Amino acid sequence: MELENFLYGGVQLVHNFGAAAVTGLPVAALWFKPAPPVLRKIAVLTLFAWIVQALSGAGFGTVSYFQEGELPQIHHLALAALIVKIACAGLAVTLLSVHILRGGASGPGVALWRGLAILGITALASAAILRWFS
Amino acid sequence: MSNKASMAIACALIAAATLASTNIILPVMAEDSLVTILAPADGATLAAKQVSKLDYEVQPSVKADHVHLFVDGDEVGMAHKLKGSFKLGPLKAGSRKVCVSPVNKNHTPIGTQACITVTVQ
Repeated sequence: MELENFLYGGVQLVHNFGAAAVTGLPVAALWFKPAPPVLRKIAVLTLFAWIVQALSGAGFGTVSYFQEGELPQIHHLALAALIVKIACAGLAVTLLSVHILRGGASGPGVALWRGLAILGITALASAAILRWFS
Repeated sequence: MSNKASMAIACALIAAATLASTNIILPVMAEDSLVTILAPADGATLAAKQVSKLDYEVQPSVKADHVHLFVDGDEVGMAHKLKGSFKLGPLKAGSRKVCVSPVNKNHTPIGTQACITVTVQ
């Protein structure tokens, strides 16, 4: 039991910091309006944060499967919230990857940062539903 | 923040997530059921279009966090009390399988669920 709690706690820790990053970094970019080279670095960090979110999110199911032999029982509203979270992560990773691979010296524009902020906030709100419904 | 520092932080986060979710997890066997359905009794007859009460009790365990209620495999309720009641129904007429599943904080079943079959008339 202690091992299971330790594993869930570790995954939760990473997931929480990832959630803070995917939401906080775009909001900070919009709020402080740093120079373009800094915006590009923030974009790279945001991409890594979303990848961490996806991995750690999968980590919850992985811990359940190997510790209890079953995946979590998620239905109805919680399942919808999980799908929204996955969609947010997929869209954010795609947008950021395309932007970074295009190799522009400047960071994303205001529209993309707003979109990323909305994706982060939506994912964070969905996480609350996923946590307390099943 | 320098580019190297940004990369180092990102790599550390990914490494932590990967380590936590893959390498150090040990498989365990499922335990026996930790929950008992006190009422209605298995095989009981319930009135259609009427709400019944289902009483359950989870055996003392540090693993169970809450319970899920299923009717014919569809989750219809969740309760955070380890001893309590669900409002059951109204159910459609016919034979219905009602199950209570103790789960951990991640909504993952612990042991086998307790099930009864009721006839709704």
